[in-house]
Amino acid sequence: MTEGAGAETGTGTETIEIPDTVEELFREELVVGERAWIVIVWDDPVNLMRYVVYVFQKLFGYSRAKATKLMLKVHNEGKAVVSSGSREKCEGDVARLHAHGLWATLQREDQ
Amino acid sequence: VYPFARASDGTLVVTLYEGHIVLLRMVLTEVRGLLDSPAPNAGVSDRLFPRAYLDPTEDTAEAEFQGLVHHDLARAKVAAFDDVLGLLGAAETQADGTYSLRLDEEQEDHLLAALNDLRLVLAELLEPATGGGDRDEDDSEEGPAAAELLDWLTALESELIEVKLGDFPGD
Repeated sequence: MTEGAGAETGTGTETIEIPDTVEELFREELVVGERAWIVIVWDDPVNLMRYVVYVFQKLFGYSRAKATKLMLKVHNEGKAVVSSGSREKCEGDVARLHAHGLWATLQREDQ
Repeated sequence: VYPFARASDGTLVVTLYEGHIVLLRMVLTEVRGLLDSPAPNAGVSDRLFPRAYLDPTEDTAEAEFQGLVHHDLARAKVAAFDDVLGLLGAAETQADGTYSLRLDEEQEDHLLAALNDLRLVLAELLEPATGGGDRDEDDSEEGPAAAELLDWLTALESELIEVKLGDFPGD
């Protein structure tokens, strides 16, 4: 990570890097090991492909290219993992996807 | 008439014919009734408020999730419908006979959410359980009209999505 804002911890021995973007935050979360849960978006015949791209960009801050790649995975393979992290984070992501009309579920990563 | 255009002040200008406004208000009112119903259509309910956990061993977590989320989600959907209904009711007549609205960002989101939910509900009612499929086989009296309405809503939503996608930086 480059050019991220930093903050000293109470001990003064560790620096916490604050990511600049949601995408960096997501990547950071994978690094620190909270991979127990994943969010899956399932294909459905009604939601428009471009709408799904829009929702992925809006909710997760993904680039157009990444959002399109995920949308095509949903469309062609029936589902795609769109985010991961703690159970609480994934429940929040699923709730936001449901609010946008997407069919999303969460499950343990190793399931 | 091009239905959606981004104004220089950032607002979204919506231009519709009177008949389209009447149609939208009618279908929004009907579907809002379904959302607000004490005995909602099971297929519609399952589509708009799907399970978060497919694993049956997570039924407790599923119940807790729905307990936390369902009420707020249903309320947000009804609020979006009400907002759009109010906006359509206040549309101003233009010199060319069309009607025009100016929407802020929240109102745009409500319009997109309402259009998408309308399509999800109509598709579910046309083809229960699949929410789509081969609509040519629908031989009910209201089937063809509902299918035409769904196609028109799809075209309208597609136009709005393109405007919204164009708002992302770098696109």
